[in-house]
Amino acid sequence: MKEEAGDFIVLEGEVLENLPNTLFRVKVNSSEKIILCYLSGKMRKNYIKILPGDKVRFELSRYDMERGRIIYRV
Amino acid sequence: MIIYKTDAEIEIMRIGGEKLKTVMKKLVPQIHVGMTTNDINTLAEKYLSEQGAEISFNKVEGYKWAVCVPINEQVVHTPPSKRILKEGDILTIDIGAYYQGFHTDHAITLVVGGKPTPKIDKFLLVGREALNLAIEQAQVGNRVGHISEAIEKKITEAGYHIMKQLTGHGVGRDLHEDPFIPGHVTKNIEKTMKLKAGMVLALEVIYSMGSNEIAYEKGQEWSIITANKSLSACFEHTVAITDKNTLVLT
Repeated sequence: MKEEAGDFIVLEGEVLENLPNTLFRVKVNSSEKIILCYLSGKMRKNYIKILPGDKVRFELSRYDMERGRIIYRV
Repeated sequence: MIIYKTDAEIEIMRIGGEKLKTVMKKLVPQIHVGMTTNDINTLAEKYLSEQGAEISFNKVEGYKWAVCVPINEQVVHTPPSKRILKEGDILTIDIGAYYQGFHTDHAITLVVGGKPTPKIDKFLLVGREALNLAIEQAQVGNRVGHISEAIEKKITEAGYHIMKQLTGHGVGRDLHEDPFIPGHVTKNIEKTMKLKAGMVLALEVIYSMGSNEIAYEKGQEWSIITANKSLSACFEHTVAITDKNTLVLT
């Protein structure tokens, strides 16, 4: 199923925890919601390290609102 | 949230696991010095198709291949490439199969050229044995922590290191489901999740000779290496826990 630009929402939040298998628990800004996120390929490639306390921008697909993709460290 | 599989779903996964086992059995004898890891991927795709199964790993967003093929200090998630296999390379083949809506996951590590030194032979034997011990613990009445403890004890007693950030996982309609199954004890075992009938787990022993820390391979999108570039290996089976027994699906 090909996703188009309109299928994503972009949010910002704070990394709460680094989890096993290189996942991150992120708290969404202005909300109590916690999203499980992974790093986008670009961020892995460019060796961007993400730590608890970091502010990040991430995409959520409307087909999977439980799993986010971190695209930028703010 | 744990997704428990019905008997009918476990039966589908059993058939899928059987197909994956066959794919791996056909693939391993084809591994030889001089082939590329792209060649491994092509063969895996061919054998999966012959078995009537689909590729599993390309259902992970952004991952376009059928296999992960880490070599030496590469630990997991290394995509196939033009890299040529050399004599003595420690190659992990990690493949998934997708059959009638369910994933199964399996990995082995071998020495290219088939002539390991005694040191490497022992390194790989310990990993295989650790996986067998993990499977023995994967039964109703035990907890995730019992599996972690079994893996950690076997690996560390032999002088090797568990890659602490990488874990086994539930498997089913998604390739990666709850629960995480660490290869080491992270908290009081009695506080870890109870194993129940209907759980299908990808048990993974992921370890190295010299470090328990990982790093992203520089310039690579997916590949993960040991932080100090020491050799690593991975053995994995998908198992289904039932009331009567534990089935090794792969």
